[in-house]
Amino acid sequence: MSTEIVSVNALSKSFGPIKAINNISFTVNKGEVVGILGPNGSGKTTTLAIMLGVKHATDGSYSWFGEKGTADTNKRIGALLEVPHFYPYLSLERNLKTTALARGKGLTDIDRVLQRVGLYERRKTSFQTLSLGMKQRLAIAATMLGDPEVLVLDEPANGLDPEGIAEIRELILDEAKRGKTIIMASHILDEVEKVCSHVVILKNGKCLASGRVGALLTETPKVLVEAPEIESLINFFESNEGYTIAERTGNQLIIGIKDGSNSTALNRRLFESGITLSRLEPKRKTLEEQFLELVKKG
Amino acid sequence: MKDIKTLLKLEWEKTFWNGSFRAIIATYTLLFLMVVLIGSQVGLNINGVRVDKLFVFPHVWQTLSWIASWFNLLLGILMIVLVTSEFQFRTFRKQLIDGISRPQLLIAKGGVAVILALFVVAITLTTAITTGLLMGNAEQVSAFSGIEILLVLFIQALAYLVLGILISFSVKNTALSILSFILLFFPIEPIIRAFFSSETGAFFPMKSISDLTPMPDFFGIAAGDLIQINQQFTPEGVAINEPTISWISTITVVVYIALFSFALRAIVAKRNF
Repeated sequence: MSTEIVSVNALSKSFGPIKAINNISFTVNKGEVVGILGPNGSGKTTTLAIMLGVKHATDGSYSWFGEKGTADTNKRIGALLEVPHFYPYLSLERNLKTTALARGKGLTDIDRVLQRVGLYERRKTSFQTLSLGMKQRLAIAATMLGDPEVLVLDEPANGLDPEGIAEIRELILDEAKRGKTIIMASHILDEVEKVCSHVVILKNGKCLASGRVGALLTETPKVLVEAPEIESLINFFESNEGYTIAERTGNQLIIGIKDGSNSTALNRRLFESGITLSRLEPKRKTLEEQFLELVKKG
Repeated sequence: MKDIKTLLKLEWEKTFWNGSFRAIIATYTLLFLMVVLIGSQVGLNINGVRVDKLFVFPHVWQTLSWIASWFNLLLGILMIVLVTSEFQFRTFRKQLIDGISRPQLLIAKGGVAVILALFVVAITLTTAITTGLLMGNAEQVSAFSGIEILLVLFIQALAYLVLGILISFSVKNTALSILSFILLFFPIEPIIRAFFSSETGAFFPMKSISDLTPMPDFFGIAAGDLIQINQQFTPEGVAINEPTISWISTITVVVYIALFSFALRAIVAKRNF
């Protein structure tokens, strides 16, 4: 039984003659971890900014928790939009206090979230003394203040070092395990692939695709094969249905398996035909490759 | 009510630690106290009349309100700094995301304006009482006669502050907002006023705001004193000393504050943050 958390219906936003987003629709259900993907300028942040009520849509509508999005529905969401925005002269603690006051909850939660992102020791220092990565951590801490039902994270890995990225990924996965609904915009596809259950793909303000990560990733499985006698290998694939040669580089071929079998079956058939492979490696397209393909098509 | 309390708490949390806020409030207080101290103590003479006459009860109310109004422009600038810095830090956007509504953004800043205007009244009131007690009382007149000018001072300060908020939300940039604010007082409005009769001109916003706290009638006060000394000429001589409050200007300014507030509501409702 899925409960609708957010529904975006035919949302459009123009800045003068430029259509920043054009007729975007998608829904997010409770417990989903949704990645909004798209190249720079594809409308990810604009979409989120409208959903959070800071920008007005030119057309279309959105709802949160089955009702019209308002300041009150925002209180139930922990959101980070673009870069962290805090009072530079206030300490981390006081900055989070302003967030808690605005949200109407979380005043007693400040220490916990600061510990969670590893900034507790710095709680008395002013925001302006932080590094970019630390500012990002504080922004993520702010989203978790008061334990909201939904997290909206726009480029959460921005400015973080590899260790920080891994930590934030763990944190997001933890929150997802606790049943939180998470909407995250990113252009780092690897991150989305590791974390998200669903994706929405945007380009030039249009929604190219949306759905489960698994469903969007369905494609012909591919394997990389290498053999000393490359010609007989090519002959084999050309004379056997169910395979296509996708790519050839030197003694290596990338083969698409169309008949639904797998690399083990292929290895057996080749061996039975007298061809010994020196290398066999299943190739799964990364989300990145698929995304680039989709974006090119779009 | 609880909402307003929370909003003011939030404003306090971010305003109190703001360096510009502290600097401007300190400057305002120091300048005001210095002018009062110097004015009342130096024993300056103008055409043989001692200036310190202006600092005795009940003239002190109008004199100090008039002095306080010199620095109200400074408070308008403070308000501009407070509002535009939120645009600069993009913290208005953050507050909206965190669940503050657009009208609440305005109510919070309006609350700050009211508190600052009350601060002006409080500092004028305490300084006037202290000065009056030290300097004495003009004869035959109640010490508190004309104290209602403090209400007018409050309205004037509020008008400057609300105008500061309006300019900030329209312009967003700190330097340009301050420039617009100052240029509006001089020369933009005076030039426009020049095309109208002085009766009509008196209803222009900047003119009516600054007309609220006129300079005390220095020579009237001096003359009143002379008349009082020569009792035989003065059946109702003290009437000359009464501070002059233009209630028409006061109402005009209240109407302007309301208009500024409506304009702000419309601007903030439409704005993309």
